[in-house]
Amino acid sequence: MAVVIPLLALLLAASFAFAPMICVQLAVQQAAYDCALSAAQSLDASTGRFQGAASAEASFASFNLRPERAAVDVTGSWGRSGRVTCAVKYEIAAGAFPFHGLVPIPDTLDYAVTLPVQVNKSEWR
Amino acid sequence: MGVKKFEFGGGRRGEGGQMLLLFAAALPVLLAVFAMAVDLGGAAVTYHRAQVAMDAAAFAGAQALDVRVYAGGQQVAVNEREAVQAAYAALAGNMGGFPMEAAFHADGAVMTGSGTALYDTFFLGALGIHTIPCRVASSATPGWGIEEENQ
Repeated sequence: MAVVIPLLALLLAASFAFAPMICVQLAVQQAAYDCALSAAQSLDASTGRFQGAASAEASFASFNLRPERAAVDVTGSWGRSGRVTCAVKYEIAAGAFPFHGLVPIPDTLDYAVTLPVQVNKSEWR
Repeated sequence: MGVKKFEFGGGRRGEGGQMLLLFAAALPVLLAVFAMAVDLGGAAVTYHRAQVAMDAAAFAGAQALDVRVYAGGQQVAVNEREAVQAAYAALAGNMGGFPMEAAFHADGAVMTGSGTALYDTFFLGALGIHTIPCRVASSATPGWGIEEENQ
């Protein structure tokens, strides 16, 4: 019993920590892609950064995550043949997980997506 | 009629052993469930990463407009060679070093791609499942833009 109970507690702690981490990782990936797509479709750098950040915020909100915990960095060149990169970093509230001291939980999860700037802006479908 | 006395922790010698037996029987099941959760969760992340990379690759490929075709007859078409090249470059750049097999082709104005990323399992290898294939597909077109005036 002295072995079994701590082992079960550890399993429980790991399960509690692991499931939300998966959800956050998926959200970070999606937010980075949505951000990059919006930024790549905009006309200039200032609009691109604004649209990218707004898209990432909407993505996090759709995953029921707090956008204020995310840091969104949109960089690149909006000229012809330019590429934009959207790097998203999300801060994990490790203290929210039970037994968080027992399970190694990263402080942040991050992901970046790079897309070429959309140059064919016209009536084409 | 006498009242039966209840004792915590097992009044009789056999009860402690029964609990241990129960735990011993439940532990492999719990471990299996946890192992499955870890590996399926990891596979879900890999699948989503592959889907994002494939979407990005299709988008990148669809930017390679064939200007000669357009200049010739106002037809929108993708230059297949350039599009495939751009798609592979975007896929490699957005997979973050994870291996993925993919194929792309352009048909008129539609750029399509499909591929498979393999997730290496941590625990399911004990059951003979060493990798989980994550198959993804995506398509994109060059045009997204403004269809009506002043929009």
